Amino acid sequence: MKKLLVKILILAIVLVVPACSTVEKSSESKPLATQPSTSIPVTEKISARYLSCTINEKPDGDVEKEILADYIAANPNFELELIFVSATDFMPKITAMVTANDSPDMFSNYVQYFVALHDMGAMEPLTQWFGKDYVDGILPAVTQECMIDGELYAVPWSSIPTGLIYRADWFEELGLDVPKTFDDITEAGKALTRDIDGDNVIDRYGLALIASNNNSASSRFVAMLRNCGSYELLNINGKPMTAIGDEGSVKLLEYFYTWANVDKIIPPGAGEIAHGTAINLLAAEQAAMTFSGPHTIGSVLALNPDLKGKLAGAPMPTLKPGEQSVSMANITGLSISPKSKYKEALVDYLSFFTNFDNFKRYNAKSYRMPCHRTLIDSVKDNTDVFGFTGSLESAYPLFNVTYSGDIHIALAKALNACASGAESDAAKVAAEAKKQIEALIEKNK
Amino acid sequence: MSSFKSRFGKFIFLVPSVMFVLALIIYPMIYGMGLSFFNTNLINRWDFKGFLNYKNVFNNDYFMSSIIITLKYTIIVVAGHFVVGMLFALLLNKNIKNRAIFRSILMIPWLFPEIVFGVLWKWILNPTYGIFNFMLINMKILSEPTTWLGSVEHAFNALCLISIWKGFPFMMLMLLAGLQSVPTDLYEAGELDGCNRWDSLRYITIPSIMPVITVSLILDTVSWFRQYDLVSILTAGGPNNSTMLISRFIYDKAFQSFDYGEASAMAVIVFIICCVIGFIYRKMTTVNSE
Repeated sequence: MKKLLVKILILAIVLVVPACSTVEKSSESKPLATQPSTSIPVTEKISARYLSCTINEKPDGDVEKEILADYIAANPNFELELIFVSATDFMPKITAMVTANDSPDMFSNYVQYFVALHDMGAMEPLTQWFGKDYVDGILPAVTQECMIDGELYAVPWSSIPTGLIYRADWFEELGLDVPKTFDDITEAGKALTRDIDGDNVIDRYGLALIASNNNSASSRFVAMLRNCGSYELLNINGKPMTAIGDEGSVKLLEYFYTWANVDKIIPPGAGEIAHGTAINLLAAEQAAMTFSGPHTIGSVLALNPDLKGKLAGAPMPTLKPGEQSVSMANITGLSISPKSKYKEALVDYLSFFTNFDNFKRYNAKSYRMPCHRTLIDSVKDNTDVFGFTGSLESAYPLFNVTYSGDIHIALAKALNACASGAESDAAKVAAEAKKQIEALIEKNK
Repeated sequence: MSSFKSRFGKFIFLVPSVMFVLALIIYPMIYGMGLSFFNTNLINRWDFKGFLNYKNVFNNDYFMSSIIITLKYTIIVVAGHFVVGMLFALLLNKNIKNRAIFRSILMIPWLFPEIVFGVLWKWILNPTYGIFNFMLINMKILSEPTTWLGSVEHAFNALCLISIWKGFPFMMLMLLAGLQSVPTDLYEAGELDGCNRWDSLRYITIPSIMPVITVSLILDTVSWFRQYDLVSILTAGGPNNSTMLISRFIYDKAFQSFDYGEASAMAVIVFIICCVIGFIYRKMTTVNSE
C-alpha cells in the first residue's frame, strides 16, 4: 500500500509540475540594418510555427506555399509549421494562444486588431529588424496603420482596398456605364437582374452585396460609409467620435434595405451573403457586381477561369455625384511574437517572402495589392486590377482602438438587419448603432 | 497504521479522478468567476472592478433579451425532443419488424457532429442553391425562393426545428431504455382493470419511467440551454438578434469584443440559471415521488 501511495504521488507530481511551470525563453537577436532582398542561409535548426489566415485559401495560399518551399529549398534547416485559421476566427485563436503562453512564432495580422494585440504585448517591434529604409518605403496610407507610437508592428504584406467589382462584359453588352454613385448601382442592378432562360425565375442578379452578420461585411460597410460622408469612428481633437446616425449612414442603410427587399437586385437571403457566397455567385455567373477588394477577382477566377478578362474593378461609388471616391488600405500584415526564439530567421524569411519577384507571382494569382513602394511595379502586368491601383493613394487610415471589434459588431448587426429586411426603418437602425458605439466610447474613456 | 490504511486507503483511489475534476472543472470555474470581477486582457491588464461587470450585464438590454430568447428556444426544443422522442420510443418499444434497423436510422442525427449537421442544413436551406427551396418550388408550394435562416419570420423557427431534429434521438434512447424496464405484468394488471392504451400510458408507463424522464429532461435542458455550435453555423445570432442565444452572445462578448470580464460575469449568471433549472427539476421529481 505504501509503495502504491508513493507511486501515485510521484505520478501526480510528474503530471502536475510541468503544467504549472512556465519557462521564459530568452531571445538574443541582432538587428538587421536594412531589408535584405535575398535569403540568408539559416545555419541552425529552425522549427517555427506560423498562424496564417491565408495559407489554405485558394489561390493565395498555394502561392504562399510555393514561396515557402523555395525558401526551404535554399535553407534546409528552416521548418515552418503552418497553422490555418479563418480570418473571422483569427482574433479568438491568437488571443487563446497568447493567453495560454503558446504564441505562434509568426502570424497573419489585420489592421483592426493591431491595437488590441499591442495592448496584449503580442507583437514584436519590427523597425529595428527591418530598418528605417524599409519603413520609409511603405506606402503612406499603409504606414500609419501598421505603426503604433512610431513603431512598426507588422510587415504590410498585401492590401485589399475595397471597391466595386463588376462584370465588364455584361456592362458593355447592355451599354451600361461603370457606376459612380450608389444610385447608379441601383439602376445598373435593375438592368442586370434578369430571367436569362425565360422560365419566369430570376437567375441573374445585379448585386451580390456582402451583408452577413460578421466583420467581413462590416469592413466593407465602413468603406461604403466613408463614401457617404459618414464615418464609424474618428479621432477628432483627441476624442473618439462617431457619425453613425447622420444622413449619409442612414441613406446607406436605406440602400441596403431597398436593394435587397424593394428593388430585389440582390439574390434572396441577402442577410446570408458572406464573402464566400458572393464569390460563388460571381463564379457561377449569377451576380454581376459586388463590393470587395481585388482578391475577390482572384478567388472568382480560381473557381471559374473562363471569366478571365470579364471582371473589372472600379473605385467605390459615392453617395453624391462628383465626389471623390475614397477607400481604406485594408492591410494584411505579418507579425512576429516577442517570445519567439527564431526572430532573426523569421525576419530573414519575411524579407525573402516580401521581395519583388515573390510579390509579383503572389499578385498574379491572388490579385492582392502591394503596400511598399518597391513593389508597385510588380502588379503592372495584371490588367484586371487596374481599377484598384489608384485606391491606395486615396486611402484613409482607420482609427483603431481596443474596442474596434465591438464597433464592427454594432455595424454588422445594423447592416444585416436592413439587408435581411428585419428592419425597414434605417434611421432607427442607425440610431441604435450610434447608441451602442457611443456607449463603447464612454466605457473605454 | 493498519487502521489508518483501512480508513483512508480507499480515498487514494479517488485521487486521479479528483485531480481531473479539480483541473478541468473546478479550476476553470473558479478562474472564470474570478475574471468576472476584472477588466482584463488576460495578459497584462488586470483592473479590479468589483461588481461593475455584473451591473453592466444586468443593464444590458441585449443580454436580457438573449436570456429570454434562450429560454424560449430551450423550452420549445426540449418539448419537441420529448414529444418526438417519446413517440419514436413507444414505436420502437413494440415488437415491430426490423426494429434494430429503424433504431439505427433514427439515431443518425444524434451521431453527426453539430458542426457537420449545421453546415448540411445551411446548404439545404440556402435560398439560392438549397434543395429545400428547390423542392418546394417544384411542388408548387412556393412561387419564389424563401429565406429560411436570413429572415426574422423564419430563422428562429427553422433553428428550433433543426435543433429538435438533431437532439430527439437522445431523448428517444433514454425513454426507450426506461420503457424496456417497465414490467409487462403491470400492463396485464392494468388491462384486467379495464385500462385502454391512453390509460396505460398515463397511469402505468409515464409514472414508471418518471425518474428516467426527469434525468433526461435535466440533461437535455442544460445541454440545449448552452447550445452554441448550431446557432453559430446557421445564423450567428441574426438576423437582427432574433436567434441570439446566450452562448453565442457570451462568445461574441469574449472573442469579438475581448471583454472577458463581462463575458465571465454573463457565464456566471448562466451557470446560476442552469443550477436553478436543475434544482426546479429535482424539486418536481421529489414532489412527484412523494
